[in-house]
Amino acid sequence: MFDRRLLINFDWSVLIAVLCLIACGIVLIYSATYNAVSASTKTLYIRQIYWALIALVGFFLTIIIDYHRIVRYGVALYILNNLLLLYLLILGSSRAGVNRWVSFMGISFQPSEFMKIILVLILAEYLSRRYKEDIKTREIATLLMLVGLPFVLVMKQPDLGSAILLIPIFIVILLVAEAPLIWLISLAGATFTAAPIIWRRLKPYQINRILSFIKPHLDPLGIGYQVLQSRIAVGSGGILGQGFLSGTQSQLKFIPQHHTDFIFSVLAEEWGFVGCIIIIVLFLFIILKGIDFALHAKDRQGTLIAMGIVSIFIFNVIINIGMVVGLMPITGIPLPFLSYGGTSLVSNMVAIGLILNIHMRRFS
Amino acid sequence: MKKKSKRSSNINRRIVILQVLFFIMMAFITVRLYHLQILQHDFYSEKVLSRLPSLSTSAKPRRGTIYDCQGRELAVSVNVGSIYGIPRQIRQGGNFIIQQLCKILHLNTRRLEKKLDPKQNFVWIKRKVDPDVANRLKRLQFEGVGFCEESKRYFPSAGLAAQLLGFAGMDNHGLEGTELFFDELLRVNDKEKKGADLAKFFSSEDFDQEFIPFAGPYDLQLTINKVIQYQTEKELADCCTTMEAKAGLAIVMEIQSGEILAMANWPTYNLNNFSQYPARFRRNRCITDTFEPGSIFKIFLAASALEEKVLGPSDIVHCGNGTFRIGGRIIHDTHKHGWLSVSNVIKESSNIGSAKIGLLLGEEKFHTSLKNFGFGSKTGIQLPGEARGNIKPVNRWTDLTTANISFGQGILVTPLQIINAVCCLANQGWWRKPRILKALRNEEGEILELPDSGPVRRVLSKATCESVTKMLEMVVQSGTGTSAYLPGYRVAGKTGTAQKIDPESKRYSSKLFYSSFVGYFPANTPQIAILVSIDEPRKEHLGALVAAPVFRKIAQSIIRYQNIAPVEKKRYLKNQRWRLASTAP
Repeated sequence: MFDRRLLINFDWSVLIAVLCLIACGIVLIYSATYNAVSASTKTLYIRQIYWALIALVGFFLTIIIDYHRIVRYGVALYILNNLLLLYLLILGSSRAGVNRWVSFMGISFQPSEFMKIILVLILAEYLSRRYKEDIKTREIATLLMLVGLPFVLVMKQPDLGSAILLIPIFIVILLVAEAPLIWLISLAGATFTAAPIIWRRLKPYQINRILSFIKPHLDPLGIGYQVLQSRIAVGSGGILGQGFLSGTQSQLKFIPQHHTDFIFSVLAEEWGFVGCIIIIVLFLFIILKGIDFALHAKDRQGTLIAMGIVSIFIFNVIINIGMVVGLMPITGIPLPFLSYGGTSLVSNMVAIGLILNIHMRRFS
Repeated sequence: MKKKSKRSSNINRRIVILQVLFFIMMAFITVRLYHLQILQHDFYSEKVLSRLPSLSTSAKPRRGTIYDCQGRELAVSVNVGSIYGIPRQIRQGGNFIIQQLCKILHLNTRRLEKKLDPKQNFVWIKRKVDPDVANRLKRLQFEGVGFCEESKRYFPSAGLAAQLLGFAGMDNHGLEGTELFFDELLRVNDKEKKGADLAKFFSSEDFDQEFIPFAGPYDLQLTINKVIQYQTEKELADCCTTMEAKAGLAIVMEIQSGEILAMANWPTYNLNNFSQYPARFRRNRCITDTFEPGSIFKIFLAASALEEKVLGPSDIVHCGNGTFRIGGRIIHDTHKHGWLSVSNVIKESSNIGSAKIGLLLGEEKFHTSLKNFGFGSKTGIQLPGEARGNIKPVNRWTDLTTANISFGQGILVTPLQIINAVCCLANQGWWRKPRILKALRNEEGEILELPDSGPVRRVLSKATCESVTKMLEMVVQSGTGTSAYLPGYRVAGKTGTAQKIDPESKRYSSKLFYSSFVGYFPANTPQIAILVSIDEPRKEHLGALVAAPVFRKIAQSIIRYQNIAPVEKKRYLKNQRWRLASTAP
């Protein structure tokens, strides 16, 4: 069943780039938690290694099965995942005030991480059979419902960042599916009109994050703290950085969450501008490869999935790094492959598996 | 086929546009990184360096000093040596070092050996030792034994205002009193944090925007006057020891400003050895403890009744010749009275008369008035652990409750609430927050005076205040409070002897009392208010005999210290004559 041709067409360079990123991530997590007080935090890097192994298994499972077959399970996965999100809302146990984790056989994971991929699959499946002329009001309404349901469920967790991330992914897929521009423009317009309504429904801390992004000096110890501390960490890195385990900001725990969402600040501080550029180039390479796979996919479905996945990476990377360097407001979005977090790692590896899957089967 | 290729090229065009957008965004991030990490690198490196010293063990900055209102030190920090060890290195030196350490520092050998766990990188051997001892050890140069300077809190006047000041623990964190309440101001913090802290302690009105927060601790200047505090504590202690009391407290307040000049508790303890005293010594009873005030509460009854114009000062009530039956209970008076004017009810401190005034006033009005005086809610003083007292909600008041509260039973108040309400009466009816913090000073010597936020609300009219003051003057001149009389000064005051609940029988005891006196002077232009409360005095029990003399002695020392002028001679003589006439048999 497993064609030898598939192995020849397998793009090793992407896998190697990803593995490099994961390795860097483990080193950075080790450094970020080196001075932690609790032993369980100190050994987070070991857990990240276990998760990396699980992620690799997920990756190989994803590339073995033809993506056309995976897409067929899209609807079932979509329903299952939404049920999990709903379960979280009703019965979820909260961690740090949010209900994001589902526990299954001792392993807890965030369904919202997988939602992005599943959404890409289901949208690609739906749009692969509908062309430019077919996309009318009814189709748009269906698509809006497909996105709206998980959007609301994730937003209620509350995880504003992950919820909002679904919108650009949706727009990219619509764009690539050749949806008429008039629809895209009116969607963008609708989002802008809805913004004030969403603003009013935000939690106080979410409003604070946005305010602190606009004016971090307003309250440097309160809401602007993370923004300023992270900026200091990045700035003090310089060209070559302060060296492994020597970053003052991250070692002295001035930045909260620096092993998860703010891992890039540890990188910037300890490895400097050069380190940042190397990591950015690795991301750039993976994303450009992904776009290349999309352009050369065998069919419309492949193109849509590949572009959807690529857009997940694009927005994750830009929003996260933008947040660390102070170009974007703080949202709880991790940096793919680098941030600590099992679900994120597994889902990102599965995503990489999907685009390599599409690339491998471009001729068959 | 043709159609398909056209579509495909359209898709490709869109993908390329996305790719370009992505490139632009990545370029933005790269430029930003270049800007932060290379162009602004020096700026941010300095920010990191500027906070490093506070993290090294050798240079722990001092904790802010606490001064009294005239700049005399109440709490200071001094540098002392602390000794730490690196277990692995000490172990290499063998038992000799451990034995020597124990000999010099008077430590238990076995305990120290246990402490020096080789798995640890750093162990405190002994903290805050005498400089001589530290120097002796330093000369021996043991491998793995290190020294660092730490600051230790020292209270120059040992037990003075102990419960008010509180103390700081081994890690220089405030644990009680002002040391706890203002801990964040006294502690070292970076500049940004200071801004946030000040905002937490003071509302925007009292926060001077011009004052620039700075790194390092603030010094506090309290409203306490060290001399007055000392005199107050001395007189209180004298009284409590001679009367063999269980405990006692006294508060001195400046009426116009609401500043607390002294806040004394007995028994007291030495702040420099705080750990050797049981916790009950450390409680600032003036604010944390509630009690049934007894007769001193009649002041507020009279004020409320006059303010509501239910009765005038010379209107009369019948005092039932010593017994009055209400709600199935009988209220007694110590002396039997018939008809008494309101003034005389206060002067003679008749419980029955008060109960009747209370009933005439009615529970609604009485309750509202008491709430206005601040009973049942915190005064908002900047000290930790203030109690709010307890007034029953008005819908649960019966006639018996009203009657009881009229002479100070069935209501729980804190001493601070009482004196603050008396200040309100003396201050022409304006209620204000008691103040404990006068000013802040930073290391450069800049002083942040905390402006007076002024009175909060008006509780009584000027006319009511004057009438009640007159009644209270009568109490001191010829009523129950004559032992508080100060020749040459007009004193207004009220005695109180509250029965305590017997802890065994759960009834009002005939042996356990809470004797108080509250008053202010000079009555024509009130300046100082003083409250004295003695808990369970054994030799005597009447407030007039226990607390009033303490009031007089404290007042005398304040008059001498602050040079308060007596009333004119003519008037003084006239008063004297009048006084002699009225006390004649």
